[in-house]
Amino acid sequence: MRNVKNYFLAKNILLAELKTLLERHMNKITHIYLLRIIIINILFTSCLYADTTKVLNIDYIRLCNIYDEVVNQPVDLTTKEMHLTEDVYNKLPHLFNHLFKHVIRSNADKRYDLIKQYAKQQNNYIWKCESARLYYINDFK
Amino acid sequence: MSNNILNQLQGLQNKSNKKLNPTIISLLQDHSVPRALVESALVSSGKYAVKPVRGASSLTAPNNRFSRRKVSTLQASSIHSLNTLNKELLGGESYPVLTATLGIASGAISGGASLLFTLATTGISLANTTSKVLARPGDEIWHIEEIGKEGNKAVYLSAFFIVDPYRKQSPNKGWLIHEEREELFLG
Repeated sequence: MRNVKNYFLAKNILLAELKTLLERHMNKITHIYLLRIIIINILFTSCLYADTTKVLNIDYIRLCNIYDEVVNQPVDLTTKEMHLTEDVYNKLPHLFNHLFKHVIRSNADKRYDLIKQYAKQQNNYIWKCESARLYYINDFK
Repeated sequence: MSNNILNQLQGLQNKSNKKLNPTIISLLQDHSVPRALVESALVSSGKYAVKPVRGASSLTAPNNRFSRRKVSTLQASSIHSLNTLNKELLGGESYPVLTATLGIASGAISGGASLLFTLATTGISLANTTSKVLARPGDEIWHIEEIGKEGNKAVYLSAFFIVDPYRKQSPNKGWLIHEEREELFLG
């Protein structure tokens, strides 16, 4: 019986000490907790509102891959032009909206340089794509 | 100077809201020189400005504000292209227009007098009843470009028509299938 009393006494003392400790450090713990929430929120919202529509360097590499695939097909110029537009529109929608829709409205002899110019200005990227360069020289004679 | 030019431009009618997918436009347009009146130039911040190809001052001449070209004839051999176009056309209706008004039956247009989309003309009447149209082998695609104004903005207008060449003397054998407008930079 005495042991049980001592046990509850010890437990109450321990809880009281724990309560004091928590109260003493409450502000600090609360600050850390709030800080964590703020950081998570910042990370989340920056992901949410990041400019995911920006053209990336990898997009120019993919663009060249599309030229490689399309311009060597054994089809007429109209079909190549349609396939090029279709592929860029479907596979690289950001690049299409920012750049390629203006490229296809421009004269054929200026298109390669327009893409190079945009890549340099917007991404500081030196775009080189031999299949595209030769396509605009040879297929539009 | 731009105000002086703007004053000479004619107001445009309301938009027809006929719009085709860019893939279809790449099929229809002239591949080497898609636009006769304007060019796109990259300006700072990665935006493109549409400018008159011969400079803003050239717009004082009416002939530099209007272009009319036959850009292609649809071929039976290009069945995939024809099917792609017709699939897109099935999605809506097109405005019929007199080929005489298009200037195709009547010959050359001179002096800008036959501008189609201006408020002063009745070339394209959006009040016309719309009708469904499908392209057939032998049909021609005509590209009409026009520079006018909306409010205090100079506007470039690009429109594509299907024309049946065998009956182009008859009325209502041209159809407006696509129209797009962009603000023109006169600086």
